[in-house]
Amino acid sequence: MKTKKILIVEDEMLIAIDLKNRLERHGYQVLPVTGLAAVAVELAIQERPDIILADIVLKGAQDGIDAACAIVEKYTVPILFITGNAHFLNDERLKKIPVYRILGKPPLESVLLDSIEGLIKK
Amino acid sequence: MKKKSATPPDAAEIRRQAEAKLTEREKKEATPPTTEAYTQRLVRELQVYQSELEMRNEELVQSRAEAKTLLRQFADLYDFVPAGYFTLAPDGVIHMVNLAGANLLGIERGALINQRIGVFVSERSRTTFSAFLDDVFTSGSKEVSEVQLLKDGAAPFWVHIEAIRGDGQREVCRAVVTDITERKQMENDLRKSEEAQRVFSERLTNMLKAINDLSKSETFDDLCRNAVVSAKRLMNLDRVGIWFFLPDHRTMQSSFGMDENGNLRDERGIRLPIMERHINELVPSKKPIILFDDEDLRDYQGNIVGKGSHVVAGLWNGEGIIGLLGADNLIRKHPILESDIKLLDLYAVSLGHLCTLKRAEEQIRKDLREKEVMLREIHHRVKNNLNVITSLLSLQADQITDKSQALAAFEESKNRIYAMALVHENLYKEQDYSRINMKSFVEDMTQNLLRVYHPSVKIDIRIQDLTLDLNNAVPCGLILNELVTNALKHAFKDKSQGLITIGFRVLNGNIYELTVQDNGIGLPKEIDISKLKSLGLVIVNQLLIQIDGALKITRGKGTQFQITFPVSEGA
Repeated sequence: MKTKKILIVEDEMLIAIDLKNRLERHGYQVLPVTGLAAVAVELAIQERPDIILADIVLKGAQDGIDAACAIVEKYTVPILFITGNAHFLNDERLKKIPVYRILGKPPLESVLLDSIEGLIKK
Repeated sequence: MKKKSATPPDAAEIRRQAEAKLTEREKKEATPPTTEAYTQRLVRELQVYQSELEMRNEELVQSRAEAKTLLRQFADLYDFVPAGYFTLAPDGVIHMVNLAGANLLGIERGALINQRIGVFVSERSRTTFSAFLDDVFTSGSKEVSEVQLLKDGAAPFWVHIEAIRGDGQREVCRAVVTDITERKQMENDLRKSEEAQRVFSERLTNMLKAINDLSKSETFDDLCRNAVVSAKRLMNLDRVGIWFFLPDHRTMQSSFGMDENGNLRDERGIRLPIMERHINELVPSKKPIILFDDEDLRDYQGNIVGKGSHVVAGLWNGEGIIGLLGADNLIRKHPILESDIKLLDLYAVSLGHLCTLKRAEEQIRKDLREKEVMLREIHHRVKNNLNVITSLLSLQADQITDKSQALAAFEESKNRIYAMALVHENLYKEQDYSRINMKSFVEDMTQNLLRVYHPSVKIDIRIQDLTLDLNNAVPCGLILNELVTNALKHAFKDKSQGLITIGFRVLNGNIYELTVQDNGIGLPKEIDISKLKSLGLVIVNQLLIQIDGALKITRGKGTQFQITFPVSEGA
């Protein structure tokens, strides 16, 4: 089976590095972490990850949903949002994203891994 | 009075009649006794008779004079009573009329006799009058009516008329006619004043409805906009404007206005000094004042549009005056009436209260919005920080290879979480809970670390009175925690004393500089910091990426760590 590629979009670097470590231990290839929406879009289009893990509230003008929307316009990829803000559940922009799921922070490792597998299979 | 008494016979005539009678008697008696005595007796008798006649005559003359006086008195009464007396035939022909009656109609008395009274009755009263006259002659009792009469060259006037058929004479009636113009005028005035009151109360009702509608305005500005529009409509004003007093109570700022062409004007930028008359007349009386009554009014281009009056009413709330409602009227269109001023007063007072309420409502709504945003932000921070903590623990757990490290690892984790907690404890409370005071944070944090690792080391904190935004403060606090922990653990090995100097300042206005300097043993030359895999360094490096920062290590007597990072936008 081909190694699955994951892009992490997260501006809290301690969260990101821990996530990266854990996913690598579970056999995933993790692309360089970024906390900027624009860099994330560029990386995704270049590297075509199998799934994108994205925080929603990011530094800068664009947030994680903006980045996800820009990416799914280029190619279909499932998005797993990991956020501390429940109010994004009703965000209108989510309608543009074909496959996504939202997890609250901090996510349980088992739920996180199941979600990644579930979304990639879709 | 038709029966004029015949002239009483004068004395000479009586004598003539008496002599004639005597002659006749002498003829009958043929040969009267001619004795002296007899003659004497006759003479005597005659003299008595004569005197008797003379006395009777005198009586008659006196009666006649008395009758004349009475007649004159009666005629005076008849002519000068303050009512018109008419004697009328069934067809309305005037048989007799007194002077007052003639004066009523404005026609000389002589010319009225044998005229039909109907010609003096106005068109509108003719039917009423002829029905009335019929009633008088058929009923025989007193009848009453009010009709309008005509007077040559004057406006028609109202009279009250009472008439009764002549006693025993079926062909005439006597009518008393009184001018009731004054009473009618009073009735008219009363009706007018009642009408005015009705109109006023209707306007008042409309005004209350309008105020009710105003209270539904969405925003404060909407309220002011709607208020000038409805003021112009409700009170027939040519121009209306709202002004609010500024806190100095010397200046007032315009809001919205309506011009003489019915255009809404946004005048929110305009400021004017408050006039002395506003303060000295309007404020103490709490009543609207007319500032001028007949002066040139200008349009917005400065052209004179006509003479006008200007009235201002106070906008009051429960505590005092908050502004003015000003109105201009062009005299040629309509002057400002007393009733308009009354309405303006009520309107302005209600508006003042509404403005105060609406302002408070807007402030509360704004506060609530801010609090909602803040609550959401805090919720986000809590979740995020909990995630940072789980990540720190998870990273720490990865480092533990044997049980002996576990205890120290817990201690380090505890200190990191404590550093995060201190950042939140030092949130700068006067602002919106998004900045922290660096000096007190560093003091609190280092005290904890000293207690745990090396209570005898001295700490010198050289920090300006600076605040840092929360996004930078947590990573910055954690970096500082790692650097000070590192110094306390490694720099003063086998030393009982030591000094750590911590600095934090702004360079060139856009770079923060954080320094941790120790006077310890110094980093061994063979150690390459970039090759170290300690968790502390991982944390420092990751957080530096997060804040776009750079680390510089200076080795000399002791070690200096210098961290620089940009002042983030909006911070």
